[in-house]
Amino acid sequence: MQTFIVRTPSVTYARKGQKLLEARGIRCRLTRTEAQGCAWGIEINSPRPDEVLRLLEDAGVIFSLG
Amino acid sequence: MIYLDHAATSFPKPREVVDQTVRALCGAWGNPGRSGHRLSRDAAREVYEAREALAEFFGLEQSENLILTSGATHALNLAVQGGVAALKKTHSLPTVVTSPWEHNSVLRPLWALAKENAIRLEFLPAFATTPTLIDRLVSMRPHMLVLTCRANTTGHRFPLSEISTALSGVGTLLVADAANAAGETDCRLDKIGFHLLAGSGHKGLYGMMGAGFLAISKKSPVLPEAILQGGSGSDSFRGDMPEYLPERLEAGTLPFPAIVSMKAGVRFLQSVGLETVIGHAREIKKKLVEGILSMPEYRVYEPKEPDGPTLVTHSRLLPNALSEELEREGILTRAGYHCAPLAHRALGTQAHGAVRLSPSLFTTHAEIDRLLTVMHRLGR
Repeated sequence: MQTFIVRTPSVTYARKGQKLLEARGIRCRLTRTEAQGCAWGIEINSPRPDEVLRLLEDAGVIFSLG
Repeated sequence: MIYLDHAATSFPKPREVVDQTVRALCGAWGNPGRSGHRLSRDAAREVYEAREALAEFFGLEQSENLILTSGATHALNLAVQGGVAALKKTHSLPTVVTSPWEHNSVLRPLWALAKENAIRLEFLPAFATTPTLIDRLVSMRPHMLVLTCRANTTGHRFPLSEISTALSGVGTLLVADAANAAGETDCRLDKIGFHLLAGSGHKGLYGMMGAGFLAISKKSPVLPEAILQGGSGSDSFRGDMPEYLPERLEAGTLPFPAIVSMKAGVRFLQSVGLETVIGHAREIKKKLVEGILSMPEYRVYEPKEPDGPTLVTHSRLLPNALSEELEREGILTRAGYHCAPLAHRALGTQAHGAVRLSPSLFTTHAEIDRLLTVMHRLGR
């Protein structure tokens, strides 16, 4: 299991990503990312990060790894 | 009391809407999308769900293109002013076409832009057949077209789907005002083919006053520019508004309780079914119009419109006097111009206005019987 954070440009995209992942049983939570004061992110626990990132991309969630 | 002023604001509100509104007002909530703590995150989740519910209800492809506003006026100003600002990047004097049936929340922003020589403003005729309207629009080749989905005076409506099809090759930015149609007619973007749809939360959607929306189709030829600048909860060191929707067009704190209330209204309508809502509205309107047409002292304007408000005048009583007489009998209506000056001019009621009777899903046949009895008595 890996824990990683994807940074989203807004809370809307963070929530969109969170909802998508939760619907697939992937554990995650919204967070303010540490690197940038006002950025939002999704903290994700998954053994397959590549698969998670592809899911987010395919759903149109704007994010960067950070 | 018989409430016939639904087109101004809905009353009563459905029980489930009241419950959800109270929950939003009395619960523990932070500012959605601002802080990282639990209360703020919980509020952000509610807002996101409202966005999704509205996007689904109005046939919008992606919920982030659903902009939450303080009401339909805010949404229409965003569509008109923001749309013109975007068009002016490529056209020095965009042509904007609208109709005499529009509310002042469309007319006043357009008149202000025309006064500044920012646009060339043209009007469609008030009464025209569909082929005539379409021929006129195709020859005008407007950069922007703003039309009501259903007028707040008589229920007048335009053939929006046919218009969007006819203008599909022109690249016109198509803006629909659903302030008096959302929740009462099928005005989904994917059905009418328009690009922007502005609406109110407290009329046909049965929410509390204080929220509205602007739905922006991804097929829109331009993205409206921000007309308000302010906090967005992210990108704070950026000098202008963020590039992405919805935050780009949502400066400042959102009207959280009204948004939750509006979402509850959408859920209520989904549970009832839009067909049921429309069916009831048409039955009530038919009964109302037929009843009034049988009384020679009254005139009904555009009696053939199938649903929406009914506009009437009396041969002797001025509209305000008629409305007051009705109120003495416990019947609440709205007299005047209904913020639609050009519609009244087109109808010939510009001197004194008219009385608007606007029922809702909660209006009963017995209430219409009582109204007709009172009107009959006042008519003598």
